[in-house]
Amino acid sequence: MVEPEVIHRVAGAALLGGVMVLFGAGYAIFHALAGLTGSRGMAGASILSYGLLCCCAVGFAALLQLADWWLALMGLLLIGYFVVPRFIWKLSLAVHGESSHINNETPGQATAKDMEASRHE
Amino acid sequence: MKIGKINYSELSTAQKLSVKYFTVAMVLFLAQLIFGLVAAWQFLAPDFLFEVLDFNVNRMVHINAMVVWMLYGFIGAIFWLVEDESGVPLVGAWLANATFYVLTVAVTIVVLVYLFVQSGPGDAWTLWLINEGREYIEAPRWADIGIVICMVAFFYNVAGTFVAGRWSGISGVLVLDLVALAGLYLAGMFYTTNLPMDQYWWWWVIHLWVEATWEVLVGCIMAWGLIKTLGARRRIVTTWLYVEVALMFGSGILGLGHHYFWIGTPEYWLGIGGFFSALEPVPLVAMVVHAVYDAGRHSFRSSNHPALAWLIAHAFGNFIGAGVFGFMQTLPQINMFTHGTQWSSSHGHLAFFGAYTTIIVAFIYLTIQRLRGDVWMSGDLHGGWRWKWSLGLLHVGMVGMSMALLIAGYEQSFIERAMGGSTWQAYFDGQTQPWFIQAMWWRMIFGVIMTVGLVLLLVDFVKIGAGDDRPIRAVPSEAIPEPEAQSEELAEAAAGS
Amino acid sequence: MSEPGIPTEWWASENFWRKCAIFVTGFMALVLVLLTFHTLTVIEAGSEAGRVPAYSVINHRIGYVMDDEKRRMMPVIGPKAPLFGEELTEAEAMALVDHGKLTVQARNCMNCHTILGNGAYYAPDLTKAWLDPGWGNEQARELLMTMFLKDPPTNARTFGTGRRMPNQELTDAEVRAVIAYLKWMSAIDTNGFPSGFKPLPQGPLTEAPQSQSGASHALGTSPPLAQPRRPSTKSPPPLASAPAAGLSMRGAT
Ligand code: HEM
Ligand code: HEM
Ligand SMILES: [Fe+2]
Repeated sequence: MVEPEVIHRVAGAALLGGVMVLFGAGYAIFHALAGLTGSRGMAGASILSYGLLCCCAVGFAALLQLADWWLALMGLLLIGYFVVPRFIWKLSLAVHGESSHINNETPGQATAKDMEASRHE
Repeated sequence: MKIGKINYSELSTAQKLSVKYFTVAMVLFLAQLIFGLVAAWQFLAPDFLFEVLDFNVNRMVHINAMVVWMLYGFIGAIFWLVEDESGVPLVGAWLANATFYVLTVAVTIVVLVYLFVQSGPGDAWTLWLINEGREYIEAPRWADIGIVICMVAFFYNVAGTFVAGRWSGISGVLVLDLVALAGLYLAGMFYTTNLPMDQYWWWWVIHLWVEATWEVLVGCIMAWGLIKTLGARRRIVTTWLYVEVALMFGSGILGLGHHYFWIGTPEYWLGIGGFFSALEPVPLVAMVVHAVYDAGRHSFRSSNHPALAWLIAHAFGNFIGAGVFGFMQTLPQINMFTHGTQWSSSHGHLAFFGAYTTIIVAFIYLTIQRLRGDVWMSGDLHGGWRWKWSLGLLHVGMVGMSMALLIAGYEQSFIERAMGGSTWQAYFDGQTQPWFIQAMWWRMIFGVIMTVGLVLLLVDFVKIGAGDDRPIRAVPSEAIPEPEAQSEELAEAAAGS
Repeated sequence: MSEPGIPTEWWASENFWRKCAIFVTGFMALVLVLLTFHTLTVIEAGSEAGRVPAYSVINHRIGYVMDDEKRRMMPVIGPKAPLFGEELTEAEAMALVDHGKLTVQARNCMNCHTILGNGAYYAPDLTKAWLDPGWGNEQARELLMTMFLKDPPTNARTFGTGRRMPNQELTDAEVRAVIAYLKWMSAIDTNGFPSGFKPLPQGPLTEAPQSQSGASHALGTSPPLAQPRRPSTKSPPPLASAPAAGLSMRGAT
């Protein structure tokens, strides 16, 4: 028999893991919104999400008593979940031919090409 | 084309085939839910249909109907886009039609045998004629072979059409993915005494389908849909499809290891499966980021509101159902206690619905718009409440059901797996906990809600756009560069200049 | 690759990502294929690795004990204890297990039960069914399993759920084969799944000089099960009463 306490930790870790991925998405979405709107609030929310993600990860590792390879894995995950959304954002811009920030089209020139540039997907 | 009227006869051969495939798909979807309800009811009233239609039969029909209707949905979608994407009429139209009927008759026979013969003596004949007894791919061997033949015919139609017309990045990925998808099915088509070996290959089919090839297939369908409905630029969509393929296959192929923790396979799968499957949410997050980017740059003046709503549901459903609910139990330390409990069921439901039901429904809305002569489907639809309510009911039902199953799963890992050490006694101890029983009731209630939602959805499919004479809101056609034969760069240059 | 007017960085170009997609897919598929070759040799029945036992393991007593080094539960192959008292050659054993597996597939067991944790959740996991304490003890087990499988509804111990196993109309040969299959299955090394499982009391797992030093460390940990009390059913199932009484905390429905 496994101690009840163990399964509470395991189940807690499962839920934390789920929440962690949610914060991962939050981090990514706010990062993207910050890029879109240039809002500092969004940028803050993004960093906050990532911070919470880290808290979840620490809790996750502690609850599961991860060690060695598994701790390294968590480290890699933290890096991955930090870097990838940023990279994807940069990629979104670059793929669309925007170098740094948005709204660099000339206003008042609503040609087909403009529409095209703003109407992908 | 007459706006608001059914223009079936004016569709091309391939598009007519799509309509047929979608119709059968929806019939099977309804059957799926009905058998799901019966199975769910048997949890609460085990004597219901005891030794008449036992749980295993109902459950088998439930999940097989799902797999088949989703494949029908994919085939329908591919037929819909193949002529447009290749620029030529379907190659082998006669064969394609015959295939549809052969496949549908075969599916019908398989289901009737499931229902009326159910099982057979423990010999190879049963596996050949009645039932293979392996979850998700129960279809008897004769049907397997028939399915493969139909797939080869389908492949000939699709690849042949692209060869006759032009290739594009999307069609290239699509065709390669179809090869992989059909090839993987072969991995599930043999018998072995060795159970670990059996399950090893069995997961090749199940996991490498839903977490790799199906995802990419959906990516292709979506890429085409985005170009057509929102006027997205082809180069961008194609690049993005490649990014998704790299991320999806990069994590999903070895993520297969999360099913090799406990089936007798070597210990290194614990690490490999844990690591790569923990990365599986990444492509899903990536998709969300990109969607936000696009949403921000695009005012969502879509020409088809229901389709767009279901596409958004797809992005979120895929992420939550597969990404979040999958991640929850993907590390072996956790999976040890959740493996084979209602946790899996919770994740399985939310993931299949969120990732695949949504996208197929979205696509069907696109085809109906065309079928009704490119009718208006943006805001202010006549009877627009129907698509909104069906969308709402289906989602409330599905989310509620998954939550109920999650609670049941928690109870089960606690009582049965951890405290009781997974004995028979422990199993039943878990099943009789009040929380568990209540969760089963909630699952039933939410199941009924879903079914109501589905009926409404089917009604909406029949009625939406009928009698409306407003034409579709135009997508700026300049934004839709057609691919040139062999050279997308040319097409892009032409469109960009 | 870039188009006029809209320059694209190389790392954001279609061409680059096409190559990436091909390379990543090819590489991962290659790794999977290599791992598959290795795994398939490891999980060969009776291979050196010892994870998946030879079919003739059904001639032996099978234990499930804590391995202190690996810190998880491991199946242990004990001394001779032939199934139904009949020692089989490897070929005969394989034929019997094979018939059992065919039967389990033909009767679609997996759509109620889980097998190695995979399948449906309507009925208990079968991974360690052979070792389940519900059978009472080693001596009663084969008989009780046979009687249960011959007529599951009558012998059901539903533990208050009302869930009975439908009669699968198994022939005698099928019943034996299924039991052989379950016995073989219980000896597969599943990396400790299910965790914390306590097998029923059995004889020694090591070849002791003379049976007196019997209780192996593995068995020392399992508390003796309650002895059969009175069956608690109204219509007493004649055959399964022993385990039912031994275990049921609630009456049968
Ligand atoms: C659309 C994509 C997905 C679908 C349709 C899907 C569906 C399913 C289904 C139906 C099962 C249960 C299989 C059974 O009957 O035993 C399952 C199991 C599982 N899935 Fe997924 N899944 C998806 C994506 C993911 C992802 C992205 C992850 C990881 C992050 C994941 C992790 C798992 C795990 C760990 C299990 C094993 C559960 C157990 O041990 O019982 N899945 N999946
Ligand atoms: C009316 C709604 C539904 C009800 C009442 C229902 C009920 C059930 C039941 C009772 C099971 C068997 C679970 C077990 O073995 O304990 C099941 C399994 C399953 N259902 Fe449903 N279902 C419904 C809708 C759906 C939908 C919409 C989908 C997917 C789109 C779906 C996908 C699945 C899958 C993948 C499994 C196998 C899960 C696993 O093995 O982990 N179901 N369902
Ligand atoms: Fe998987």
